[in-house]
Formats: sequence, C-alpha cells, structure tokens
Amino acid sequence: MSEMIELIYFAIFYILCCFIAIWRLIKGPTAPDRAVAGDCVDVLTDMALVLVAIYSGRGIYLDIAIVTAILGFLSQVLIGKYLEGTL
Amino acid sequence: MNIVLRVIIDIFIVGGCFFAFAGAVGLVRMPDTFSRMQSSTNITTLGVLLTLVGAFLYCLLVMHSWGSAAKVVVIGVLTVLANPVGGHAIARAAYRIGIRPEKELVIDDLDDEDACVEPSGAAAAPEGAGSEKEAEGQ
Repeated sequence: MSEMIELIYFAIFYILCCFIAIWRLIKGPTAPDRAVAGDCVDVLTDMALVLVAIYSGRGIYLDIAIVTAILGFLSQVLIGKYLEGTL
Repeated sequence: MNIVLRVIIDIFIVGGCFFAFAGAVGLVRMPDTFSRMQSSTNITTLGVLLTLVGAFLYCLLVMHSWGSAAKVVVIGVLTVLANPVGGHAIARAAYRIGIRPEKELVIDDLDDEDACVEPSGAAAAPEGAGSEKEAEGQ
C-alpha cells in the first residue's frame, strides 16, 4: 500500500467520468457516437488501472492497462472500417 | 516521502483529472457527432498524458521501479500513437455513412474528387480528373 491515499480517489474520479461517457454510449444517436464514447470509456478505465497499480504497488495492473490500450485501438479502427464498408 | 514530490505528483494527476472531466462533459454536451469526437480527444491527449507523467514520476522516484516506469511510458506512447489513427478512421466512416456537421462545411475535401483519392481505383482517379480538366479547358 502506498502512502499517497489520494491516488485511489483519483481512480474513483476516473470511474465516475466513465459513467458520464457511458451515458453517451447508451443515448448516442449514431453509431460513430457510440464508438467514440466506447473508446473514451476504454481510455478512462486505462487511467484508473494505472492509478490503482501505483496505489497498490502491483505491476500486474500496468500489464492489463497496456492490453486494454491495444484492444481499444484495434476495436476503434475495426468499427471505423466496418462502418465505412471496406472491412 | 518528500512532501514536495507528493504535491508535484498530485498537481499532475489533478490536471489530468480536470481534462478528463472536461472531455467527458464535452462528450455529453456537444451538439453534433464531429464536435463530440473533438471533445473526446481532450481525454486522450492531455488527460492521459498528465496522469501518466504523474504516474511516471511516482514509479521512478517513490517506487524506484524502472520496469513500472517503462510500462507507463509504453502506455503513453500507445495511446498517443493509436488515438489519432482510430479517430481518423471513425471520422471518415461517419462522413461516408452520411453524417454531416450542423453548420455547412467550408472545405469538404472528402467530397472533392481531386483532393480525395479513393482507396479502390486509386490509379484511375488522377487520370479521370485530368481528362475532365482538359475537357473543361477545351
């Protein structure tokens, strides 16, 4: 455990920002809106994972954050190509 | 722990939280699709980078862990390189399926055949455009 107790509050703040993006993910009128909101949820979860990793002092969360970043990029490009019709 | 170091790390992470919150609010409040895409880049550039700078300083100066610092740098490089590419793909897809901004576009390069080279038939497009220009000249 870290001495910096505020890191976990920052992580909780990022998760609350996630819920704001999830509102757009549910409501979004078009498919690109939902794709962009989903990518935002991905990136915000990434940041929360980094903060939890340095709060708890366990490097395994950083590995999960790297995988999340790669998968978010792949999903965004795939959704874009699929919507464009050139997949 | 040094209190100065702690305050510096906190300032970086609070800045990242502010930009992430601004991006999330812009994602809800912006009027059309392309504005919302622009607002989402607020999260993925400044929000991510400031938080990762704080995490990098923490890993390097508090945990004394070079491995964790390298992983944080890898996450930052991945996010900064990947998000413009993904955003470009999504924006072009949004244009192709017929979404337009609310205001009329001043410059529309995707609608212009001379400026926009299609992925299929890329070799044929310049010739056709050139012959049209010649026909107009005659």
